[in-house]
Amino acid sequence: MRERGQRSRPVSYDRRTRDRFRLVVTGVTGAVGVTAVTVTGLLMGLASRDYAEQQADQQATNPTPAPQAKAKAKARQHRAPKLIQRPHVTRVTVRYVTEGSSNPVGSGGSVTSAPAQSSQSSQPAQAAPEPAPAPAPEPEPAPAPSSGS
Amino acid sequence: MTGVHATFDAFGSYAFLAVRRPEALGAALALAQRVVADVDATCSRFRDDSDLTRANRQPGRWVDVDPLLVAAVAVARGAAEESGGLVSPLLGRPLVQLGYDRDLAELPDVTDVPDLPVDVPAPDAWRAIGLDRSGRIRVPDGTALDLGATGKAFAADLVATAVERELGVPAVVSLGGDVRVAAPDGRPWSVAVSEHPGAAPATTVWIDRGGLATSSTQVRRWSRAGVTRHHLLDPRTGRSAPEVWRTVTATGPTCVAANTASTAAVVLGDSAPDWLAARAVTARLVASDGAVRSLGGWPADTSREAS
Repeated sequence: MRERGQRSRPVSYDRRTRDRFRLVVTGVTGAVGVTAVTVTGLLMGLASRDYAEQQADQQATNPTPAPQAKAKAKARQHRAPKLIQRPHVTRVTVRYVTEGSSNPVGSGGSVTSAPAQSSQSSQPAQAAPEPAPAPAPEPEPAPAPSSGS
Repeated sequence: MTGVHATFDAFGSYAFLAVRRPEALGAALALAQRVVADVDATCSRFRDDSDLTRANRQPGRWVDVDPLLVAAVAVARGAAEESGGLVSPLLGRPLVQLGYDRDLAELPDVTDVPDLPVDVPAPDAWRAIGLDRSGRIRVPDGTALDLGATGKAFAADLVATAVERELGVPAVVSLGGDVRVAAPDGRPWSVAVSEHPGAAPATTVWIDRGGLATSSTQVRRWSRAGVTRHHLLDPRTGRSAPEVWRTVTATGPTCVAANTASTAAVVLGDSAPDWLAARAVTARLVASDGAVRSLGGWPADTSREAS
């Protein structure tokens, strides 16, 4: 599913909108695979069909339209978007690509052999009278593995 | 899956994800798996249906691809720029010619095939990769892409960005050993460094932000015509890099930066310490005889390395 316009938009829409978008993309991707049409193309196709139906209705009620209406309809038809067939999908994940491709080699975070005491976990210097029981500490995860792979 | 970390398979290797808040693990895991699936579908050299494979089939021509592949190749080209071409995205042909033409799990040791010359890409061939961020790519004539050097690190950075943006929870991800911290909160994460997946850690360190990567000649090895190869090729020769350093672990502002440093160090061999020091990289290098050298403030090992 190709979503070029979506990719370049700033991430300003809310989570519900985003999730709906993702659901649509995922659903259509799964349904039609690599020969998918774009969501834009799909919507355009629906709009185009609606427009054609409107035209048919108009012709049924007024089989000989005035020249002015005829020209207007022709102009509209000219503007009607076409269904775009795209051979490939576009991954929603691309939205997480940060600007630029440069990852300069250099110093990263601090590397230590033991966890440094953070201010959050340090105890106050003066014990308060009758302190409230501390919440149970969060479980520590296993170390993240880093091996050759 | 425990309360704060989970593991899953990724890129023919392993993936590990940990979060600070147990209630965020499910959502973070779903995001990570989605990113990994997308990167694999677009960037894998071992999938006939990947965008990278399609681009490799038509060198010299612009090919419509997913913008995600364009981004991955742009990052790989950036790594080549950073390393003076030591980390190249155009080693696809030499890797295939040396026998690494399928997922390693399916790679047989072959003895009845002669050791043939390889097509070494021109030193700056990677500069000629055509990239159109709207979704087109052009592989230079006579070459083929392989993102084995930076692909997992790129994906780790993407996972971290996704978790940070969507969930805003501190987390750490490791994709086949390429580690990245998401939404750093000042508390460090522990990282167990080893040569082989699943091996006992040689040392455990703590990092508070950025990336960390390990490159090793001790994994992804195969033999052809009686010669043992490993996957870290020297772009200058098109052959497996001499094993001056068998394993290098390095840090960086991002996982791709860390991986660029660790891979370049293996390729550089003797001159790697100077190269890393000039860039203020914190690193741990294991020589072919097992001797460990630390740079840039890397702490002493917490356990002796098994040679």
